[in-house]
Amino acid sequence: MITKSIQIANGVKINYIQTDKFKTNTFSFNFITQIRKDSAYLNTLLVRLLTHGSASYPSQMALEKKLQYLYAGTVAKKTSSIGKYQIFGVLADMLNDRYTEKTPVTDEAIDLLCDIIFNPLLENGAFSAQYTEDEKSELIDIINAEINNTARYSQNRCIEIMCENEIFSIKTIGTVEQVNSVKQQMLYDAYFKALRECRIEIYVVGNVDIDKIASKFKSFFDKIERKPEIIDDIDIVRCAAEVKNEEEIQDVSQGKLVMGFRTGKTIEDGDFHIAQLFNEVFGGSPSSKLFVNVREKKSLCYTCRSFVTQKEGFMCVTAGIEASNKQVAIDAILEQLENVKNAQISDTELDSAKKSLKNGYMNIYDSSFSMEAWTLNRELSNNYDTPTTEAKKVLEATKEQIAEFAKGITLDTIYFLKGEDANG
Amino acid sequence: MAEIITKENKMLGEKYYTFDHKSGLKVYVFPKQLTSSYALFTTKYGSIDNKFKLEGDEDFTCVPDGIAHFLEHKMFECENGEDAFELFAKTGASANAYTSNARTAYLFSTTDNFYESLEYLLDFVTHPYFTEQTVQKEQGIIGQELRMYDDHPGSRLERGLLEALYKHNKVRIDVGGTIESIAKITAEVLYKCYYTFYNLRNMVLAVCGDIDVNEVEKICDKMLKEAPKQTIIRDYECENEPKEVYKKRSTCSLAVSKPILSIGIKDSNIPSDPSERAKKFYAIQILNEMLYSRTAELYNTLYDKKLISHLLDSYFEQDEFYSFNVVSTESSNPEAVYEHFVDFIEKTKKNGLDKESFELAKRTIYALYIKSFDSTEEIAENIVTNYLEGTDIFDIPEIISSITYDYTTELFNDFYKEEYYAMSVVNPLSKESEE
Repeated sequence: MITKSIQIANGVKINYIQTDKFKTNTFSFNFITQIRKDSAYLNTLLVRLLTHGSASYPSQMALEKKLQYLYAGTVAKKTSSIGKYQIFGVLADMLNDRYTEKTPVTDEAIDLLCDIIFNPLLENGAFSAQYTEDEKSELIDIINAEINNTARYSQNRCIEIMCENEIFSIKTIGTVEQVNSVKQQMLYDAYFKALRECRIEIYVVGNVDIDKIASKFKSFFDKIERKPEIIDDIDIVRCAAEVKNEEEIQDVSQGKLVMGFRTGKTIEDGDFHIAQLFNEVFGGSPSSKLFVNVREKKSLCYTCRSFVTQKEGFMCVTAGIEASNKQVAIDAILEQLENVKNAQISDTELDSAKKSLKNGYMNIYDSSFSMEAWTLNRELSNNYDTPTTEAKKVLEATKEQIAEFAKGITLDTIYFLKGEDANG
Repeated sequence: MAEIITKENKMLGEKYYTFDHKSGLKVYVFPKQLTSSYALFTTKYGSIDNKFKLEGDEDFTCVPDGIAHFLEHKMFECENGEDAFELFAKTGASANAYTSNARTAYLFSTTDNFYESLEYLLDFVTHPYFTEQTVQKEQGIIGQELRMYDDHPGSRLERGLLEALYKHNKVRIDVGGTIESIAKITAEVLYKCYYTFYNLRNMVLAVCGDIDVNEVEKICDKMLKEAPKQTIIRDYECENEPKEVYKKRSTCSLAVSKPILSIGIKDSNIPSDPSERAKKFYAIQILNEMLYSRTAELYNTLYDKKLISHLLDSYFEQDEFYSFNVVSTESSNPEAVYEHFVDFIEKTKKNGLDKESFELAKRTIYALYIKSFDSTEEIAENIVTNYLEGTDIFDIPEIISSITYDYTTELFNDFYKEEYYAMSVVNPLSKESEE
């Protein structure tokens, strides 16, 4: 998918995906580091601060006005984690110069992006005290607001319980106590550490003069003494021990069931398309076993779905149900899993799953953000297969391969969020 | 053969084809060189259409709330016991449907087998099959869907706001209805709604992707029978709707960390001319960008006073029979946000809108329109919206460019009056409901 990659400094690469399909150009600047409990939240807060304003555009208002001037350009903070990595940085998209009524915007957009990253707003050699406090309280609001979305909250809780002793339970957003304790100097240190030590991957999707953009970024890195960190390997829990059960009571009208499983496999083990094909068959699509049997045939719920993770080696099944139906739902879900393990997959089910997954892979080419996410993700997995290659492999997969993958799945955790007056 | 009309926009580098199929269906084909293609089959029938008759009928039929949405669910069940999702599973298409206040839409997106999928779409939406038994089963699933939305702060906020803004207008009815109202639905009444509103003359098909218009016409020929000519008379009972809001406040409590609020502005001056209505629509978008984005004084004042830490989200919804604008955010003190909002609007009226902000906001709205052409889904949705609103997707740049500062100022002064404002609040559970 990548047209050209240019190494511009030690551990810093700019990757270009050239395409004429879109009316916009998309840019991303990604700092990549190991997830650590004592620093992940600082990185999260750092990108919030960088996108709050820069030296040249020293307020949210000034920055937004510039973006309006650049034809509804966007600059968004980017924070995510995958496997052992924390990714934080900036994502931007701008109209291609062909559509901006004869006012070219691409050069100015790159300047703006560089300003945000290399020229932050500082006072007395640290980030602005006011902005730091603003962003801290905003982040605390976000942490507290986790409960507003009961589905996501339940899912996070299940993963937290399941991965209690693994780095996957670390919240890169931090805790209220952690964020409260942040001082300006800590952020300033985190900023320089990121520029010096993080691996950096820059992506450009669209149609631009990539060499010109690369030399612009390079001129900034020439002034930085880079010492890229070494990221340690981590152990993956391949098999669950005893099943953990946890129930929580909140004032909700619908119960949320989340079941966490260990799959035993990650993308690094190869053949990850089999894991994804398993998921399609089991609970990843409207023609999956969970949707057809648990929702449609038993009318137990409106949502019942599963997802498998690439690098962490687990799977979650989520369902919104009446609290009294908890055990019935668990049994129904496990029964379907057992069916897959026994290769009880009809030709129609297999065929639908393959087509649906292929559709999903090929859709990636229709969005510059998806292409960016795919390539970065694959870069971090040392697996450079394109969506087209994966789609081809999927079409050749067999029921036996799916059953083989399913046999490695073990139930780890059952989490249930229910209402106060719910019985069951 | 129908006459195929081609429309082109050179600036965008895009074109589309449209024809009136002999069955009575309006069809749009928008070629786009992307990997996936998208099809959208829409009927002008939503939750507000609960009292209607056909021309020539003596009496109006009144149906239970939530029936349009219920019908949407039931359409997926085919007579042979198959689920329509299973049909699409054969082609790999990803299918879905949604119901809103004024329309019901069935859609799929796919990277392969587009024409075969299109046949399935046209087939299942034109073949209703309901029995008392299947209706009962659906009451269980939709019951869980409604409960899910009961726990959803955003849905509760919006419902509360519409109930405060409107006294009679049917837009205040929840799209899904209630557990009680859907319990009254029978197979017979579903058929009645189906044959009234799923007449091809009340529908539109928009497809976008690497698609050939002649192939689409052939599939329409194969799948669609000529629809009977009929005129639907809808009674929205909105004559008695006052211009002012019904209630100033609507509150409820839910598991949220901080109160969330929506300020609604009720609007009764809806132009009957489609291009005037579109012009007003985009002018309100420009105003929303000027008044509520991060460049706006209101946002920055609220932020500096620590009344908000979240964005001010805004959206404007306009139909022939209702129109309202919404500004939402999160705040520990919703009443203080409301006061600042009122003061800010009054101050802006006195000082006049800023000319530079107007130009930048107008540029933003124009750019968002251009960006929408990067997605087959957005293109198809916009084609349908424009068709139902009586405008053309390619007319929009001209409409936006015709919006002047003076026009916007006048609109702003008429649109914003305190008697048109209401606020909906969802409080955290510890705070007792004020109702």
